Amino acid sequence: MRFSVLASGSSGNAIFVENDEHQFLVDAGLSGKKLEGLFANINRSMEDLDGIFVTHEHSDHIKGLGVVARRYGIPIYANAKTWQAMDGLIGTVPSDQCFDFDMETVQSFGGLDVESFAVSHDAVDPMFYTFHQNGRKLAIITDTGYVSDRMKGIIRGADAFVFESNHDVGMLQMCRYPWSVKRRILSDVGHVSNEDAAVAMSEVVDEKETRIYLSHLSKDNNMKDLARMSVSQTLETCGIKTGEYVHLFDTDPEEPTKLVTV
Amino acid sequence: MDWNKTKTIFIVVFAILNVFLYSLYLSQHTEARNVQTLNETSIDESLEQDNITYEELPDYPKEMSYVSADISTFPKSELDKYEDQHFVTTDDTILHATLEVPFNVQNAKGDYLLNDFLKEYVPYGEEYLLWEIIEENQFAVFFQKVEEYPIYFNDNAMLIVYWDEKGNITSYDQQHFSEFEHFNKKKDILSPRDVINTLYSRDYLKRDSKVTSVSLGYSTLITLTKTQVFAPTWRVRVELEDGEFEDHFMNAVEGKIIEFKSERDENGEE
Repeated sequence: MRFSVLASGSSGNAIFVENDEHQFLVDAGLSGKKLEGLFANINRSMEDLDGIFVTHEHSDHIKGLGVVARRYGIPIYANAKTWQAMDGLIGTVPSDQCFDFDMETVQSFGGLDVESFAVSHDAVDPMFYTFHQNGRKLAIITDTGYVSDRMKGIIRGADAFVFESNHDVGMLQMCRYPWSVKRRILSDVGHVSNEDAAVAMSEVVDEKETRIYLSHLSKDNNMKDLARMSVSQTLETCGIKTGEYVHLFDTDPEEPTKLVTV
Repeated sequence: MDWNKTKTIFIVVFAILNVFLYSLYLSQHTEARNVQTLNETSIDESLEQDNITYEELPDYPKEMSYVSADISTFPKSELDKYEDQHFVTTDDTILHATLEVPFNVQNAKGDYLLNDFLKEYVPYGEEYLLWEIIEENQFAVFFQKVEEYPIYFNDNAMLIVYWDEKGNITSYDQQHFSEFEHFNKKKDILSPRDVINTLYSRDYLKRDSKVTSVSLGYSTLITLTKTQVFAPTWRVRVELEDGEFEDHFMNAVEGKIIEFKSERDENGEE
């Protein structure tokens, strides 16, 4: 199983996952043109996609969804409430390309098992995914106000995490956002801060080689250096020294991460 | 149909349309600029009406980065370089030094010799900048610098030098940061003019006052477990009508006004 975080942040999200038989995308939150460019950067083509798994209906996750699905005839997977919420947002997608992926279920695609799980975010029925193949596991979890024990149970022990590290609380408090927006971000249905993410990570990583991709960084209230520093130091207070078996990686709103094997 | 005539008519019509659209664009652009000028002018007028003045504003870097640093410990090997001092450390990070041979804080002319003292007697002494001298209580406060910029009111970046009634420096308390790192991403900095306008519009500038200086430094934005992150910060020094001075501090990226509260204040200490 291989993956690349093509783009991450409030300007658009898309994560590419493949095995030898299939290629998938989790979310398509950028324009079709941008997505095509990102695919070209990792030497892949959208024509070969076997499906797009949708996490929730926010525009930074579905902006290019309808366009690319229609253009390349790609099947879309989402839960029923998300399908309803996307009505009118992604245009008309032929019904033979629309598939249900219920919350907390597993669907298999050849040797690749995809499991959905609920997160806490202000969308109708937000969910994220873990990918399993040959005992290896990739967990994707962003857009959640907190990481519950249930979520931790599902993602625990992954070999690679795409983990939200959205903001620094100090920067958020200092920034010019209206108070209502700050409150929303800090709430249980908002986004996870660097420190909270690190504490959650410390409870789900096993003592084995693990890659953690810090994702969905706020453009205004976080920085790559800060997120890495903050997560690394918090992990250290929880007894995990990064660089030993846990390795942190940046993601970017415009640059895909290297396609790596899990 | 005469195509040549039709073509000419099209060209003329589109040329006229282009001229019209361009004039429309110009007039809107000028209007927008006028509004901006009017805003600045109206603030200037208001400042003038309230008799608030400022001198020439400084040049400033248009972009600056956030900076991180770790709290230093004072290793014995470093302290051993300094003779005739007795050192005690608290948590390895707070240094209390007592001079065994007192150093005179002023020369015969009454000039303070604090910089000489720092250079000779204080570990990393050249990294500190004088903030203020409290003559009646016989001590001076220094802030550590990041390059030439002071870190405002951070207990972990302060040096306090004490002297006795005879003017002999007797001791100092010191904390220090090391491992400074600039973050990669630079941020746009508010101009001094923006800062004054913001302070005025939020009622921080009193009538009949004079902005005597506007200068850049850093202040603590984030405290991590080992590291602190500093944000560029404007300091605006204002002379009030009665001759007293007050300082205002503003995050130079976000424009938020910062009110410093040192650990001493929080602990209710004098």
